[in-house]
Amino acid sequence: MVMKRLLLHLFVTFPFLSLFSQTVEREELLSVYTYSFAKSIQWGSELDEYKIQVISANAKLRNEFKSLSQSRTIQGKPITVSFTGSPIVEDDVDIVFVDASYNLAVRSILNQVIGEQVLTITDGFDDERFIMINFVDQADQTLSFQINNANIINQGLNVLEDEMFLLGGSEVDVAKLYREAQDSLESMETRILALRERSDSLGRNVQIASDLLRKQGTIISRQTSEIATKQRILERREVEVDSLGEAFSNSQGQLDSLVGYLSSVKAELLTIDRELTSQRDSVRKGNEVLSIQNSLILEREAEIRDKESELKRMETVVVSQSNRLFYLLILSIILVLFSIVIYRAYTARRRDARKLAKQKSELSEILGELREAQTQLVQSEKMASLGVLIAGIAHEINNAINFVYSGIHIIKAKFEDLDPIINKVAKLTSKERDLKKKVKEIVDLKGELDFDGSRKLVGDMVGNVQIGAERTIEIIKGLKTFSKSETENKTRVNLHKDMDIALLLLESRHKNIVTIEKKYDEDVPEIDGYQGQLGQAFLNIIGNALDALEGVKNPKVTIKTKRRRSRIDVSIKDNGAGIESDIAAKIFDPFFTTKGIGTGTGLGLSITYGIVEKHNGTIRMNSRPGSGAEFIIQLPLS
Amino acid sequence: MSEEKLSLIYLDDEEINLILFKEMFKKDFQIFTTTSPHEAIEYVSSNEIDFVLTDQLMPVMTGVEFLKELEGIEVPSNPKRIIISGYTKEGEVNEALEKKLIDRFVSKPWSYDKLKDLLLTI
Repeated sequence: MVMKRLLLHLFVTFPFLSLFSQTVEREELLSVYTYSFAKSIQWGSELDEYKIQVISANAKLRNEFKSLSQSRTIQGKPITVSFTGSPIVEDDVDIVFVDASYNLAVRSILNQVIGEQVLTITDGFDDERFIMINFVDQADQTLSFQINNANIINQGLNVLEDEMFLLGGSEVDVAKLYREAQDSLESMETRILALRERSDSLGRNVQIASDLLRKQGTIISRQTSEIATKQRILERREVEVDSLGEAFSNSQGQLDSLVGYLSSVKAELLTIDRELTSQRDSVRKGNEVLSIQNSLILEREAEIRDKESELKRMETVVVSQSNRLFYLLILSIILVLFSIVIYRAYTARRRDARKLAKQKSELSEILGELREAQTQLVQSEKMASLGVLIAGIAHEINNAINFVYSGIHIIKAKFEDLDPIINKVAKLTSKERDLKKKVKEIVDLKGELDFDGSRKLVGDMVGNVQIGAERTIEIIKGLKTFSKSETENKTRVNLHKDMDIALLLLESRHKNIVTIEKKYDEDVPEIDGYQGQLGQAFLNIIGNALDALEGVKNPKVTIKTKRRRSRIDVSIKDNGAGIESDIAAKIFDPFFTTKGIGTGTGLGLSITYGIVEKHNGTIRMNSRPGSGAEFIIQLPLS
Repeated sequence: MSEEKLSLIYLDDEEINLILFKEMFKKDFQIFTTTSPHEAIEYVSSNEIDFVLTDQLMPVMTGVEFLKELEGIEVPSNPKRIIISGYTKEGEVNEALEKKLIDRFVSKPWSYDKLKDLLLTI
């Protein structure tokens, strides 16, 4: 509401005020503001006219005020304006406008209007304590004003604050002014106190200085008395000097007698002098002799110097020669040392050579031993695998022999049973008279002794004996093949037959336990090779497969052969646990074994590898843990 | 025969051994032979047997294992236990002998007289 009212007022009454101040001349604004101030203030008694004195030399301002007075009234009363160029307030004026160029005179103008109902308006005066209304140019170049209500009220004027409020401007804070005055008073008091203190301290200093002066006075009087005593001492000394003068004249007498004595002494001295002169002469003579001797000495010295220089020269020669000698000596020492070193090196080399030769022979000895050990090891591996085999083979042979042994026992027993019949038959001749009776007896006996049954049994037993014997022969044959020595000759080898021998030798370990599946390719031809060794290779691989199958469900070994274009592939595969990849890389290494100590030598596969290599073939192993291992041997046809 | 023959069971995976044995000893013993350990166990548990003879090396179980299994079940008689093997007596067999799991060890090939004597003198 207030805002609305303010705007309305400004537009209706002062449409040209601050809102448009930028487009309005400053002088026009000053006059219009002055007119508005006059409307916002009540003079004690109602005025018949409003007298305005304008103290200014500004013609434009004068014109503005003039046109204002002609065009407007205040509270229905006319306005009269007077213009002066001097700061003297005229009688009976109600408003004095002081131009900024008269600011130095403002205080005197204010003094002239004290106690009278006169409103003084100033422009840009800087002491707000004294102003009533004062124009101020703002930083944004708009015109504003300050108002000091207290000073206006002091003049007996009444400010219509609502009206004034609508004009804007700012009120001078009287309290702040009072406070500032108070502050400056206090600071003055503090300054006075400080000054008083300073004068006190100066007084104290004066006191100290006068004390010092007093002390110096005492010192001076003491020194004066000292001077007096010294004077007295001087006087006493003078007296003493006088007495000394007397003693001195006494001494003078004594001196005179001493002079007499001295002159006699002088005479004595003169005679002595004469003696001395004669002595000096003889000395001079001696001196002359001496100088002659001296010159002689000098000559000698010169000679000596010559000799010395010669000596020096010789010395340098000697020194240079001794230097040369020294170098020669060092050189010869070096030579000797060098030759010693060379000799040492030579002997060391000879020693080394001897040592080397010795080491060489030792090494070749060791090599020989190693080779022997290797041979022994290979042999022992063979023996070890044989040892394992033999237990199984013994079992097989014992069974086969049992067939023969027991079969023969039974056959023998049967023949004993049938002996009466045989006897009767043996005694039978064609000339027998009662042939019929005899034959009947034999037939009866046959029935009694179960001749037919026995004959069949004997036949069966002979069959069993034959089986046992044949098995034995086969096993022995296999053993013979297997045990063929390293020196065996190359022959035509039937790989299938060789494989079967290996299987036979291992029969005790797989018969009725492990399924052996043989997939032989009938096109595989015989190859040139070492039958016994290849058999051993197969035996080693199958033996390992059987080891891997211990405790495996449905154990099975599949043996496949296949003829390729230029080679034969032999595959031996089991369905055991397989071989871990970290172990797979080492299986062909000598002495590598996964079997317990004393069980495997770790040479089986290493020997197998060697045998395959000897046949220009290759061997490799494929395995995935959990799905068994497959050994593949590839042998060339030619 | 008035005197009842001693009864005997023989277990071996080799059929010919069984035929030969039966033929050899049929006059001396009442003999039951089989290649199956399970059949043997069944027979022993339902018949009064004087002797159990078994091979050592067999596919399904070893002779010692068979006898151990027999130990665990109730049988009407307390038969003497004999292992007949082509192997030398070692390892498992030796241990079983020491533990009295088996009474005698007979090696193949057997002889009629020796085996008969051995059986009759246990």
